[in-house]
Amino acid sequence: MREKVVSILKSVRSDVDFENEKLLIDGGILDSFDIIEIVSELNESFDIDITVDELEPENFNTLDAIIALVESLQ
Amino acid sequence: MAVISYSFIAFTAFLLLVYYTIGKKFQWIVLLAANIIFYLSGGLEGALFLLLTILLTYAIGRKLESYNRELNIEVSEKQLGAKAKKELKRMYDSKKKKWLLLAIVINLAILCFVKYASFIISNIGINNGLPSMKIIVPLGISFYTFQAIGYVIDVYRGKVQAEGNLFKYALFVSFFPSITQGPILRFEAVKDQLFSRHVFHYTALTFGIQRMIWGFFKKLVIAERLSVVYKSILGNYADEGYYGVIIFIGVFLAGLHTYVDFSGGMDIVIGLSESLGIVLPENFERPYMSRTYAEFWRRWHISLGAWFKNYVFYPISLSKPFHKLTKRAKVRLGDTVGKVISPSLASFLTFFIIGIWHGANWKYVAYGVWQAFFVAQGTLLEGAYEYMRQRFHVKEKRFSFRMFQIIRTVLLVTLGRYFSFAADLGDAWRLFGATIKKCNLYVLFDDTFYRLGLDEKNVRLMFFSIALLWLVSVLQEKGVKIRALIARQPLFIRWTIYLAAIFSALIFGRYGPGYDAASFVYQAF
Repeated sequence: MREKVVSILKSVRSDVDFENEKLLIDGGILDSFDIIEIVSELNESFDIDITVDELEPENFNTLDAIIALVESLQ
Repeated sequence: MAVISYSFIAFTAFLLLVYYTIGKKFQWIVLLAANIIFYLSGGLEGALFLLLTILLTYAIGRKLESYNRELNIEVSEKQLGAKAKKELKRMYDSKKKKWLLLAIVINLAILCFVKYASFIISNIGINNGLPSMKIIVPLGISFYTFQAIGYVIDVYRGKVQAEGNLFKYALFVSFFPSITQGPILRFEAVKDQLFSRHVFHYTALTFGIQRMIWGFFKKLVIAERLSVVYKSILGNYADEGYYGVIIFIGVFLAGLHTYVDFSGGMDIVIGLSESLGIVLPENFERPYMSRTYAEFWRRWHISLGAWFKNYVFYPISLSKPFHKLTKRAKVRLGDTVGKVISPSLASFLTFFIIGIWHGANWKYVAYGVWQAFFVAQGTLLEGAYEYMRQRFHVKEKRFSFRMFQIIRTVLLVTLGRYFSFAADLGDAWRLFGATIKKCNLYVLFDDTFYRLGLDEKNVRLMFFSIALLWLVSVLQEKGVKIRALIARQPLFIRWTIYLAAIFSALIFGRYGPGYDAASFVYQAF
């Protein structure tokens, strides 16, 4: 699961160190276009439905938070 | 009551006195009373529109909250599995959606009615000989409507609990410092500050007042002069025979005027709130220092951008039709291009709506399309730009490259503003035509600037003040806290700066007898 999420994130933003970055949203690293691309890819790859309700900074600030979000929706 | 007036300053001083001397549990009531006095000073008719929005969104917020609570109780009592839980949530969502739509439709209908009715009725009136009808535009209707709609959506999404006290909710929607031109507040971010008790802090009071003075300086000393110059160029360019670089400068100064006027207004709003112990979100972060087009709009009118991102862009991008579009685009155009088609189109739609919000005029539609194109192309062509940077061995962190990026961004933003500052779309094309008619860079070095409504002394003062604003912006970009820096200086230097700021706003803020400062640009929205 972790590798798959990392590869999706890297396919959107290859320049970001997702393993160590702790403020992906609050630090302004990912913009709204990145978020939409990431959400679309995650929805498709894991057959989940991340809705606009889940688009909160705390769900996307770190790799672990993103993985936790995916797991909670599976 | 105009913000730029002695009566507003007296009103603020009296409010601060009452706010910090009255029992702390009454502070929020004092604020609500201040809102009522401020709003009623603009007339009763407008206040009725505001009251309607408050009552409607309060009641619907409560209804949505009751559904949220019922859902939570059912989930915890029945101990449902994931699938059943999802189904139950979907059932409640469909009930809630009706109320949400009711709140959005009624509020937007009121907003559209007062914003566009005069325009539509005057057109019909001309054609059919009907008597003209004047519609009252309530003060700050866009800002409080966006705020109230945002609140209802947040309650619907379960991000915030609905406020139970109608008067406290009314305080949030009608908070007078920000009601005229923003920032657009989110209930979750300010509720605790608005309703809690505030102990008097000398630093908060003085820092707030200093920020207000800086705002008055920007508005009265810089923006009012910029306004004379750009209006003199763009208002008469055909009659005066202006062309070439002077037109471009006119549009650039018009854009700069909007920034200084609007951000100066924000300094007053945020400074006043700071004096009351309430920290509001920033609405501008030095947009003229942006390196990309998208970054410019992230730093400009931040609360409006965030509102449209949360309540328009994201819902459109994640909707089912857009999801299908992404899938199809990927098949036809490949992964790289396909995946950015949806957000690009959603961005187009969002900017289109923002354009329409600015006014019922084709020029604003063109303006919206221009913004969306340059924001979207940054993402669509990111790969190509990266390739070019590598190919030409561009060092991105170099000062010269950063300056190139900033100048390029300002250039593109200014070209886009041809649409917003022209009288209409046809005039925008004529402005472009006049700009490329002939190269006349010599006007930068002769006395042209002294013939644009301001005398030599005032032109120099204007450029000196802009240079000061630029210096402050550079320091802020480097992380320097200007007010804290001044506070650390010896008494003599500190007070020299304070008095210089106050007197320059007082003396240079009124140039000419009978002068009356114009209203803030965004107050009209």
